[in-house]
Amino acid sequence: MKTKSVFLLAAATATSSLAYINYSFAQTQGSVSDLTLANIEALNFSIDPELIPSAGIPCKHTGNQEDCCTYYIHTSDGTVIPQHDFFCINDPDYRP
Amino acid sequence: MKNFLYPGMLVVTVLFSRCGNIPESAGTDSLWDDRTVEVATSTVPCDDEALLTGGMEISGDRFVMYNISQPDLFGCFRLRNDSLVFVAPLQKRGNGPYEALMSQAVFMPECDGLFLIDRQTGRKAFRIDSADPEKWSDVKSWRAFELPNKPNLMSIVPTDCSGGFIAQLLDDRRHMFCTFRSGDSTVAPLSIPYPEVSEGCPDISLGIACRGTLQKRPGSQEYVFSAQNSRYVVVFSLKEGQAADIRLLYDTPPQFTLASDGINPRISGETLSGFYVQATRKYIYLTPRNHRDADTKALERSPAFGTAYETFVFDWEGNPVRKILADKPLQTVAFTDDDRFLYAKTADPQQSDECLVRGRILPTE
Repeated sequence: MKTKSVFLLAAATATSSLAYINYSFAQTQGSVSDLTLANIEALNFSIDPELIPSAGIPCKHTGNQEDCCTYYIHTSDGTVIPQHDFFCINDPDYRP
Repeated sequence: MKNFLYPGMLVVTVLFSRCGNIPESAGTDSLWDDRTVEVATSTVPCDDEALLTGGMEISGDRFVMYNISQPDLFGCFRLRNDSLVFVAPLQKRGNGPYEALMSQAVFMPECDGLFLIDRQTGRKAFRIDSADPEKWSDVKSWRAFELPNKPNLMSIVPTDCSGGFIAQLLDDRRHMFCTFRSGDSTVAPLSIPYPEVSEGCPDISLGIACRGTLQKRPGSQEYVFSAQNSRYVVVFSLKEGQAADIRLLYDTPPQFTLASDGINPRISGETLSGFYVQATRKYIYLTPRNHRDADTKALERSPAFGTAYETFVFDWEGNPVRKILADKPLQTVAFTDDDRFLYAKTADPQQSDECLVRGRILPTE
C-alpha cells in the first residue's frame, strides 16, 4: 500500500507539473528554458508529444534505469540540443 | 550547454522516408535449445525502499538501487541472512556540487570503488570507497572527476580508477565510441563505425537511434555495448588507447524514420527491442527489453510490457553459454558478480504489490 501511495502521489505531481510546463511552453512560443528542461528531466515520466512540437518524439515510461528516451530539441536561436529522459524509451508504438 | 549547429537540416527532412536495414528473423534461435537452465525464484524479504527501484548494481553483499522519483538517486542496501536491509540513501537529486538529476552507478572492483557518473549533463563523476556502505554518503570522502561536458556523449563508463573514461559518441558515424581523461576538453574517437543503414541519414539521427549501454568487463579492458532499440551488440577491447578485437554478438541495426524536423529518429515498432546488458568477469548477460508488439510475438511465452522470462548468457569470446529461463516474468534483472544468483523485480500473483525475487543459477552441466 505504501508503494502504491508513493507512486500515486508521484504520478499526480507529474501530471500537474507537466500541465504547467505545457502551458509555460505555449506561452514562450518555442523557446525552452533550462529550468523547464530540468523539470521535464527530473520528473522521469512520459512526455506529452505536444510538449516538444519540433521533435514530436514521445517517451514511454518503463521504470528501468537503463532505458533512456533521447531526442533533439530545436531552440529559438536555431541550435539543436540533445535531451535525455531516463527510465523511458522512445515510444515505438506512437503514431502521429 | 554546448550546442550543435545543423543549418538547413529541415530542408532535407522529406528526402528520407526510412532508415535502417531489414530486421533479422524474429524466430527463436535453436542455438539455445540444449543450453537452457530453468531458474526458480523466491521472494527476497526487504525494506519498502527496495521496491521503488528502477534497477540495481550488485557487488558482493552490497546493493545500489536506482530510485525512480525519490529525492535521493540511490538507496544502498546490504544482504543480511538472505534479506535486503536498507543502509542509507545516496546522492541527492539536484544541481548542487555533489548532486545530479540522474547518475549511473558503476562498481570498480579493481580499486574497490563505486563510481557515480552524472548521466544528465555529463559534467562530473565521483569515486567512492565502496568497502563500507555506511560511509558512502560522506561527500568529503568522494573524489571528483571533471568530464568534458559534451552533450554528444552517452553511457559514460570508467576505464580505470584514476580518471579514464569511455563513452558512446552520438554524432560521428565512423566512431561509435570515444575515450577521454578527467579534465580533457576533447575526446579521442575509437575506430568502431556505427552499423550501416540507408545512405543519407544524418550522423546524429543514427547515433540516437543506436544509443545504448556500455559495460566494462571487471578487471579487464574489454567492453560490451548493447543498443536499446534493436538487437545490436558489439564486444571490443581497448589496447594502447585503440579499439581492438571487435566482434558482433548481434548485428541488427534499428529501423527508423525521421521526424518532421529531419533529425529526430522515429524508431520502428517492427523490429525487436534491444537487450539490457550486464557484464561480469566471466559472462555477458543479455535480457530482452520486450517493449514492442513485435517482441511479444517472437517469444515462446508472452510477458507483460518490459518484462522477460529469459536472459541469454555469452562468454567473452562470444560463445553462447546458457539461456536462463525464469519461472515468472521479471523486470530490472541483475546478476551477482559471482554469477550464482539473479535478482529482479516482479509482480507476484499472490500479492497485490511488486516484490523482489532471487533465483539461483545452476550450471548447465
